Amino acid sequence: MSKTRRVFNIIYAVLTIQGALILMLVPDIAFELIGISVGIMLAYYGLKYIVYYLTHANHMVGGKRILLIGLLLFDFGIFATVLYDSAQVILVIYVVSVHLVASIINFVRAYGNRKDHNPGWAIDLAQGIGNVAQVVLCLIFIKYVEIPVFIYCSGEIYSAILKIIASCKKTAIVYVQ
Amino acid sequence: MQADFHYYATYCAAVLAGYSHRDALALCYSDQMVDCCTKLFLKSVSASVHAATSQSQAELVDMKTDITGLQDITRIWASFHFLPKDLYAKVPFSTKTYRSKYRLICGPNGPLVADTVELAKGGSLQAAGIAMHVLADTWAHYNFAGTPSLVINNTDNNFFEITDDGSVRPVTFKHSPGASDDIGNAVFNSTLFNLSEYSILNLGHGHAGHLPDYSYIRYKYMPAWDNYRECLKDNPSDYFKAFGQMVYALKYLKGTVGVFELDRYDTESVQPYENRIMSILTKRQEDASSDWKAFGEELSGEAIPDFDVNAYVDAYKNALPEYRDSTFLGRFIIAAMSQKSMVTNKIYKSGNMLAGFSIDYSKKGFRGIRDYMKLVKNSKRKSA
Repeated sequence: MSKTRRVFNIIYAVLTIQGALILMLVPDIAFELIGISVGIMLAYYGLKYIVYYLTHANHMVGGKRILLIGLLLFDFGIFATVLYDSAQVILVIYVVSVHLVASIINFVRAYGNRKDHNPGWAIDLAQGIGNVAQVVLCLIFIKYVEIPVFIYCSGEIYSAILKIIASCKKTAIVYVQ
Repeated sequence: MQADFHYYATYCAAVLAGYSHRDALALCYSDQMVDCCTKLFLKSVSASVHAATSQSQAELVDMKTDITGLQDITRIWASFHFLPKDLYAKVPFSTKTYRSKYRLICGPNGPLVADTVELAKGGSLQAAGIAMHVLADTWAHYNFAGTPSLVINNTDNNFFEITDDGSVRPVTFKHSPGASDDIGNAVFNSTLFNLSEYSILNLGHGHAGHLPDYSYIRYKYMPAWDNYRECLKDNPSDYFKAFGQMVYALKYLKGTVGVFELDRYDTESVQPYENRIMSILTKRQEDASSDWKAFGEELSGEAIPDFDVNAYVDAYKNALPEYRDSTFLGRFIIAAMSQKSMVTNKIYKSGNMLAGFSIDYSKKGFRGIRDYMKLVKNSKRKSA
């Protein structure tokens, strides 16, 4: 990783943590803000796929499928942004699906690591249980504003911390002739 | 390729190249060890994880595909299993990121194959074994890249097996991890399609299942990157060439041949056994270990023990820390780091950042990952 990218990653991560902490303090406004953000994010992913098609997938056999997916996601994103007043539903669906998928991945990892006698399986299992707990909390407190906001923001803070750790790792390999 | 070729066939090649039974065993053991030396294994023997030459499925699932993770994956898979053929390949009308991935496509007889063999020259038997693994895999894994990339490594349903009578039948892929292949009905396991460019599912030949690893199969398909051109993959013929090139390279490493040139194969030692070798390579089976083993034992007149990943672990763990590098496993670890360092450096120097940064010790001194100090110490020991 280049020094510039390391610096940018750390700045981005610090800003994310700050933003998440602020949103946790004002859950009512946060709900609408996150709702709009999810819509914008979908549109962003749509654009990302369109750019991915133009820069990479146009060389690939069957790459036009990616262009189609990009256009559809972009369309959904714009549509979701317009419906920001239904933010609660959008946010709950988003948080629940993200944590559900993450928990499945955690359990698969835990199973594989345990089979290979890797002590890391316990961490994966714990993360999996944590993700399931967040899904359950979201569904139980579906009518409360604070819980999904709190879960979403915690996830963002966790990812930002991981980003900072990754940016501080040494990566260069020494070549000896 | 699997243990049948990396272990038993390499033993046969080493014997034909003039190595003794004992040296041939050390060589083929190191060759097969490349597929087993994961971070998990290295942790279990308290060795540096930066010497990893492979990754288990669990490790791959666990891997974060951020920049550092991707570079780590690329260093392992491009250095040992998908050696890039042409780091300076020209791709018209393409972006730099696409070009960087395209240039990591594996193929035989590229300049890096010669560099790999030269690196092993004058080195340990472990280094020679690693070089043979890398060389052989360029034949099995060509057209795929050792970096996660959908646009390079994807395949579509246009996949057909060419049977012995020349007829063509469609290949069916299923996606059940751990399930075995049904070679009789041409139903093979492969990785699931994943839309993310950097998903671990898009690493290497996962989308083509184990087809590149089976010596008997001939098939045709469309590589994602080759502009709708159909590729005919004739594994028996490719594996035979790999075997001939291994014998030639091993003769060079032993000093019997004075120079190593690309696209040269030993015909002198191999030709008397051509029919026997081709009969093993074309036999419709998932694992040809028993046939290669019988052939190897006939060649040397000695028994070949089965591969045991832990065979040299105790010697390594029980050695004093200052003598660990001189044990069998210690020499393997140094040779692996050396190969990884060389390939990473070549990729980096070509302007490609996919394998990460590489620092030339002779020019800039020591920086970066501390475990690579081992290479510096080893180099100083050699020159002393």
